[in-house]
Amino acid sequence: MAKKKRNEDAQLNSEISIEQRETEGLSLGTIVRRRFLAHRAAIASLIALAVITLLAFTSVGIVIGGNGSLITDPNTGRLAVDGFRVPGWWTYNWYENYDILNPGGTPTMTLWPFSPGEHPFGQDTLGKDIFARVMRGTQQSLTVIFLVGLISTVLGVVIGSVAGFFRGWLDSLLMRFTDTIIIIPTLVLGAVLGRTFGGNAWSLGILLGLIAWTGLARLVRAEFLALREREFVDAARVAGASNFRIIFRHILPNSIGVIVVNATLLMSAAILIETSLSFLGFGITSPDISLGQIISEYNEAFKTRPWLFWYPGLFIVVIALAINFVGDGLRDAFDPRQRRLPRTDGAIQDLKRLIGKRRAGK
Amino acid sequence: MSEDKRTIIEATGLSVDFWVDGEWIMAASGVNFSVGPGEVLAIVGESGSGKSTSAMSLLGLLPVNGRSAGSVKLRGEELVGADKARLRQIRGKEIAAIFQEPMTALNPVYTIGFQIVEAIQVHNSGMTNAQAKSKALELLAMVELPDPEKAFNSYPHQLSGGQRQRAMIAQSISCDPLLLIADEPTTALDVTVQAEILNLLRELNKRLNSAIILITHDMGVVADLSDHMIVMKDGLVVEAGSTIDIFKRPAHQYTKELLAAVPHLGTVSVAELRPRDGSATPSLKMEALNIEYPKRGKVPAFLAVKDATLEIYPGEVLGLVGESGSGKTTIARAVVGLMPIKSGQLEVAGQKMVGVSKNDLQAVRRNIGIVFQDPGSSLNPRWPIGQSIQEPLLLASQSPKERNDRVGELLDMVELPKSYRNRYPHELSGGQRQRVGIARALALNPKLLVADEPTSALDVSVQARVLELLQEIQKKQQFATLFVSHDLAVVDLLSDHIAVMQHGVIVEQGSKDQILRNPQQEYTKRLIAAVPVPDPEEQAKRRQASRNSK
Repeated sequence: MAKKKRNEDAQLNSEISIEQRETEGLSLGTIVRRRFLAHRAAIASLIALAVITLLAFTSVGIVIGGNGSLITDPNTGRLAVDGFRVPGWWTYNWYENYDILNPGGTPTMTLWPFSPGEHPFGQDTLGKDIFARVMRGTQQSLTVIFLVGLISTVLGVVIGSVAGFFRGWLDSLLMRFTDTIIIIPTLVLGAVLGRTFGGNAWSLGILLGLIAWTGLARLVRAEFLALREREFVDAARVAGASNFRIIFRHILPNSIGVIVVNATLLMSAAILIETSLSFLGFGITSPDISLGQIISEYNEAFKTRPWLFWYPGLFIVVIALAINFVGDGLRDAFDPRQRRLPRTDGAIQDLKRLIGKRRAGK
Repeated sequence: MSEDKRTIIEATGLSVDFWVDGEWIMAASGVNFSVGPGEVLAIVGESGSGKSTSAMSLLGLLPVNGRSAGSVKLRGEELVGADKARLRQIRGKEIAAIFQEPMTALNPVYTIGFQIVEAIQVHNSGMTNAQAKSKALELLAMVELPDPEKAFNSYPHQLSGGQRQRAMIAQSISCDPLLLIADEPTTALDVTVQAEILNLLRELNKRLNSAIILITHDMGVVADLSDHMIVMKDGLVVEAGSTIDIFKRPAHQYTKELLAAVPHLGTVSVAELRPRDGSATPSLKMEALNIEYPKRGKVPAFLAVKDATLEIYPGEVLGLVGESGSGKTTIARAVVGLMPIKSGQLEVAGQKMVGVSKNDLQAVRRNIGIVFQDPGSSLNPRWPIGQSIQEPLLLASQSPKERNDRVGELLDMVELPKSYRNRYPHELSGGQRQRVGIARALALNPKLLVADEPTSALDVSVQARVLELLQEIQKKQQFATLFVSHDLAVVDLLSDHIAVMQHGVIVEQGSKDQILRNPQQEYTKRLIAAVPVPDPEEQAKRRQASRNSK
């Protein structure tokens, strides 16, 4: 049915002449989407993120529900995680010990001829499969990152924009509330709450999201204070727009640059906060794994078994970079003034000019 | 003395290009001029004609993507291609500039005195602080600031617009420059203040025996100040010669058009006022209206409009004139419900605006359209203009198809191509943006249009077209218009009735004829006399007259 509808649409579109198509109104969303799709780095990063997410979740499977502790399966006598286990396509899992294949547990992956081998990322001293551990860690870290990003952005934007737009007592109230949260160190608050509400990725992500929005709220408020005085806001008000519409449709798109940059920074920082909390034993706690926790767990084996750091480190870097590029692409897509200019000064241009002169001289 | 008679600056074949989207775009080409001591050269043209860029290239102040070629000689010294250190020495010392907006050209966190002393000491490193200060005070006195000592210790925001521009002039003449580039020096000022600044510039020019390059789009200012002028269009000089010659016998078609586009005060034939229909109710009715800016922190409440009484009937245009700070914009904002009313009566399209409920306000706003002053800020920069225009329609809950058709219609009405609806405001010129603003204001066929200085940010010829358009639409649709402006000539062109405001009070109102041809109040007379006439001889006569009367 949907396909048929699409066919009809296509037909209709082909019937509209070029001129008409040019005068067809495009919504802001369409234009932003087109500009975003034209941003190569952002699209590549988005694909990379999607591939990593897919890989992490399908390879070792997931656990739904349960308290996350390890139990012995009475039927097989093997270790298992409490909760409903959806298995993945990777034969090993992250909590069992296996026989050590290569001496010292070095990675079995060879690049030429390419073959992953049994334990591509290597094994630790107990024989645990590092690939499975990194995948599970990536799952957990991604969950934390996106929960923090989503919750703190929504909270920060709503609180900041309401405070900046309405000013007066509402502003004072919200900003004093923000101050209260700012003065408590994130790490202490995270540690106390993390201890109380259990050590899995969901609860940690939600908790961090609930305390990390303060900086964003301040920035958004400042943007709103400046933008609410612009004439287009008055124009919208005269057109009969409600406060809600002015906040979310008029002013917010104009402060998207600040919001996106800050949200991506927050998400990158979330990895580090999660790592430090896990290191202190308050974040994602054993037997579950996060990327930060893997690094802190193996920190004494840095010289002897470096592969224990390579892969979790690589995934942290790739995820953080990809998020930043996507943020960059979003910011550019929302900024209609974005244009590129070739530079006419600077070292490279001087060099080019020099070469050009030499060539002309010959 | 013979040395001083030499030409100060001479440009031959000056051209400026900009690197845009992968190619060099010509901004100005083949510009020739020379200015001697005590002379004023005016460069006239619309925005984008290359007048500012040619002048800025004299200072070597082009953006990174610009380049200049040709020859510019300052007292025989070549400036194009001169090294950066030498150009920096020349800037401020030998060539100084006055910019359009004194508020942004002065640094808001330093006092006026500090900034002038800084400019003096940069170029005279041997001068002590005390010497520099006394020199600065001397300069402030020279530009006729009422209390130089006080101005010296003031921050830019503590001075009025005219005083800031004087301080700016004091700063730029601090090193006795040979050449002063004045880039639209009076555009941001009121007419009466403009007249004073122009007088000041003329006197300084004679006294210091320096040269002035005046960049402006205002023909009145050109007629008032300059000896020679060049007219630029699309980067080319279309006409050059003495000001009197060009005003009397413009040779080029473009110059003729430009001169014709200037609204002349008092040349519009006065049509008989149409008698009002006895049964008609006014679209806007104001009685003893007081508007107050409420108290904020330590700033006391400020009564911006006192006891205002106005009436506008359907099909009429009322021009509201006054200097900045006189409260005319406040009235406009109160009419559309953006300012709370302290006391009095205000009735818009039959709806009482005092104590209006939220729903009624929403309803009455469908009958009001407003065109704002600054087309750059009145359109949402992140929205394509089609979306901006259809917003009132959307909020009046029309269907997407209706909205789409109406946007096409409105774009036609303001003579913009329909394909523009997907463009962003920054892709349009100022005049085009203002047309979009008009289209948005008229989207719901309002009964009352409030136009708050709709053309003050536009070039003369663009202004003429926008005003013509507005007039045409108004004639066709017969809505009432409240036209707020500081430009008497524009008001003269458009309105049936005029109200003059000063310090929040309407000092005089009546039909256009009564106000402009037979003003009763001293203030109105002064306002009319201050408007520069785009005719050099007439202007010279007036100057003589005002000097004699002093």
